[in-house]
Amino acid sequence: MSDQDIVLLFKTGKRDKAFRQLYKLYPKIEKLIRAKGGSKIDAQDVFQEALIILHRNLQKSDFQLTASFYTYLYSVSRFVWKDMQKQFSKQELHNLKQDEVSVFHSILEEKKFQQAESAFRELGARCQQLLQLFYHQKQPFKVIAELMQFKSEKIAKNQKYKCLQKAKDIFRTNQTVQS
Amino acid sequence: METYNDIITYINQYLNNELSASEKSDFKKKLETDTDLKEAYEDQLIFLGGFERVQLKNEISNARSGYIKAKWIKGIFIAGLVIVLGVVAFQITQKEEAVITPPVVEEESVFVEDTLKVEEEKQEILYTETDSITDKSKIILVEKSSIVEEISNEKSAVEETDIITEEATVSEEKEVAIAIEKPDFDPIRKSPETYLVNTEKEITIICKEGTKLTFKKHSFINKKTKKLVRGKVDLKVEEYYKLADIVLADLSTSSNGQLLETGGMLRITAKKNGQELELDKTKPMTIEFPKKKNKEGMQLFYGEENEDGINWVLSEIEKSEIDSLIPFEPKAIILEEFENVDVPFAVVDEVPVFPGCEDVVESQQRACFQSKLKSFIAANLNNDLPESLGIVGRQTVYVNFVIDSTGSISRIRSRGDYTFLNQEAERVIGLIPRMIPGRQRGRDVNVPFSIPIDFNVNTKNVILGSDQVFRKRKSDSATRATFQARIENRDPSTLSTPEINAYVFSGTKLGWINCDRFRGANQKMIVKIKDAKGSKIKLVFKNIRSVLPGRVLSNAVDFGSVPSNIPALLLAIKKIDGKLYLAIKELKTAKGLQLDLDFKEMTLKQIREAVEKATATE
Repeated sequence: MSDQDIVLLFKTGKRDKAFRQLYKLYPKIEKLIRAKGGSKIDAQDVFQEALIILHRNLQKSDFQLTASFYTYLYSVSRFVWKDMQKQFSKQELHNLKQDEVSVFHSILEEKKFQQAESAFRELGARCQQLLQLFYHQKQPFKVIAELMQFKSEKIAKNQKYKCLQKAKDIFRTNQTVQS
Repeated sequence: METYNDIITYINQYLNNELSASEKSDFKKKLETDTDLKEAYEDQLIFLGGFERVQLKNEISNARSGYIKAKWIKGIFIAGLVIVLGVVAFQITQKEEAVITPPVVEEESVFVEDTLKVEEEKQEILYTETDSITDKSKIILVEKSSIVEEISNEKSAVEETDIITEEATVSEEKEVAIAIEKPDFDPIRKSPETYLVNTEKEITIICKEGTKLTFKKHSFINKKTKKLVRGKVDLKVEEYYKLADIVLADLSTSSNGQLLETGGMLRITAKKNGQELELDKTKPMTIEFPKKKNKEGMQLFYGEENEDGINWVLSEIEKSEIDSLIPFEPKAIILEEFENVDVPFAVVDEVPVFPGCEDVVESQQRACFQSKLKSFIAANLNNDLPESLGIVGRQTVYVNFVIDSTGSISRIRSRGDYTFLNQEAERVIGLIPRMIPGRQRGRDVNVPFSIPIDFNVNTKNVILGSDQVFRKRKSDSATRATFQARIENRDPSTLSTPEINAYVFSGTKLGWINCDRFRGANQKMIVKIKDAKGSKIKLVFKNIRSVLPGRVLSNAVDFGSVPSNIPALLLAIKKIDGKLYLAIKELKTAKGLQLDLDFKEMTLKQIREAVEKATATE
C-alpha cells in the first residue's frame, strides 16, 4: 500500500486501517531504538509517539509530507527517543535543519497534550468514561445519562463539567510541580 | 460555576462548528479581548488533544495487536505452504522413481527369459543329440539349471548371470532388428550389454566379446553429488572390436589427427535410479582387452565425441605417472613381460628351428639355423640393387629382428646408409618362412637376432661377415639364471589364458575407452571423389586395425595423414530419399588418388553384411 493510500485512509476516517498499515514499518524502528540501547517496550512507546505526532500533523491543513512515511517516522522516532533520554545538547538544537526543527517543534507541542493525557488518566474511571463518551464518541448528554445511569441529562452535563474541571486542576498542579 | 460551564459549552460549540458564521466571528473577537475566554479556550484545546491521545493510543495498540496477529498468521501460512510444497515435491520424486523402476524390472525379466531360452536350447540340443550326451554336457546342464534357480531366487548372483548373458547369443539378431527400425543412417551403436552390478563387493564382468572389467568395492560415485553409491548399479557396456562395428557406429581411430591402431573400443556407462555415475578416482577399474596377437605399446585412450565422430585422448595416467600405478598394473606388466620374454639366441635353451633343420640333433641346431639363414638370404637378396642405384663398394646393413613365440618374424629393424638397401634387407628377412619358436624351460619365447647383410657390388656375391653374422654371446650363466628364475617364479596355473591374451589397463573414467597405439602416418591423403557429397566416408586399414574418418570437401575427401603405400579400404555410405547406398573401394594409400565410387542401393542389413565381409580379417 502506497503512502498516498494511507493518507487517503486517514482523510476518510479509517484511522485504524491506516495505523495497521503504518505498523508494518515498526520492525525497522525497533531496530533503530534497540541499536540506540532501548528495550522493545521503549521501541513500542517511541513508535506510538511518532504515529501520534504524524497523525496530529496530518490533521493540520498546512502540513506537507515531504518524504515517505518511513523517513518521516524514522526521524521523528529518532528525536522522540533522544528527547526521552534527554540527550539533546544545546549545540545540537542550534544546528538543527529546517525539517528537523519542525519535528522538534511537534515533539514539544505534543508534550502539553501528554500532560493533559496524564491528568485525564489520573481521573476516576467514571469521569474518564464520561469524558470519552462526550468528546470522542460525541454522544449527546441524553444518551450519556442513559448509558451511565445519571438521573437526568442535566446531572450528566454537570458531572462532565466537574470531571473536566478536576482534570484541569490536576493538569495545573502537575505543571507547577514540573516547573 | 454556571458561567464557566457556559463558557466551555460556548467553546465546544465553536469547535464543533455549531455556530453560525456571524457567531463565529463574534467568538473570534471575544477570544482576542476576553482573556478568561482565551485561557479557557486554550486549556480546552490542550485537553482535547490529551483526550485524543488516549483514543489514538487505543487505536495504535489495536493496530499493533492486529499487526502481530497478521505476522503470526503469515508465519503459519508460510510454514503451511512449505509443508505442502514439501509433500508435493516428495510425491513427485516418488512418482519419478516409480516411473523409472518399471524398465529395470522389464530388463530383468527379459534377462531371465533369455537365460531360460538358452536353457531350453541347450536342453533341446541334448535331447536331439541323444547319442552324444557326454558327461561334460550333463555337467553344463546342471550348472545352468543351478544358475537359473539362483536368478529366480533373485539373489544377486551377478557374476553368474553375466556369464549367461554372454552366452545368450541374441546379439546379432537384436542389432539387426534395431538397425532396421532406424530409417536414417545415423551411427549404429551396438545395443549395450546391461549388467546389474552389486557395488558392495569387488566385481568382475566378462562381456560378450571378451572384455573383462573389474570394479573395486564401492568404486562408484554420483556424477553430480560426488557421493558414494551403494547397492546395485546398472552398468551398460558397448564393445567395438570388429572393424565393421567401428565403421557402422561412425567411430574412428585417431587422436588429434594422429592415426591410432586399435585393440578394442568400449563404451561404459553406469547409472543408479537414472542418475549418471562415475568412478571414484582412488578406486580405478581394471580393463582387459582381449587380443589375438600381441602388439606393443598399447595405451589407454578416452574418447570425446564430436561432430566428425570421436577423438581419442591419451589417458592422464598413461601420460604422467606410470610409477604410481594402481596395484593391478604391476600384475599386468609382469604378465606382459612374461609373454614377451626375450631370450637371446646365444642363451636360449632351444633355438628356433629353421625349416629344414628339424631332423638335426639339438647340439647342431645353432649351426644349422645359422647356415640355413645364410643361404636363405643369399638366395633371396637382390644384389644388383646397389649397382642400379649407382652405389659402389661394399655396403653393410645391420638388421635386427625377433623370432617370436609363434615362430614368425617380427620387429624388423635395419641400420644402413641407404634407405633402399635397408628396405631390401628388411624385405628379405620378412620372407623368412615360419619356424618352430625358440623355447626356454619348455615355454615358447621370443628370440631376438641380429645379422649384418653385405651387398658387394664388385663380386656380385653376398658376403656374410662370417664371424659377425651371429654375435657370439658367451652363455652368461647369470643371464640364463635370471631368465629361468623369471619363468619359474610364475606359477603357470595362476595364469589364465584371458590374462595372457589381453591388454590390461586400469582406468578411472567411464564413457568411451579405447586401447590403442600410435601409428606412424607421414603422408597427407586427399582423394578426389566426385559424388562424395552427403556421404559418410571412412578409410579402413585392415592390417593395422585403424579407421580414419574422411572429411568430405566439395569434390574430394580429406583423410589427413596416413601411412604411405599400404592397402586400405574406402567405405562410403550415403542416404538419398530414405534409401541407403554403399560403396566399397580397395586402394593403396598414395598421393593424388582419383576414384569413382560405385554406389549400390542396399538395406541396412545388407550394408552390415557387406561391411563385415569387406573388413573381415583372415
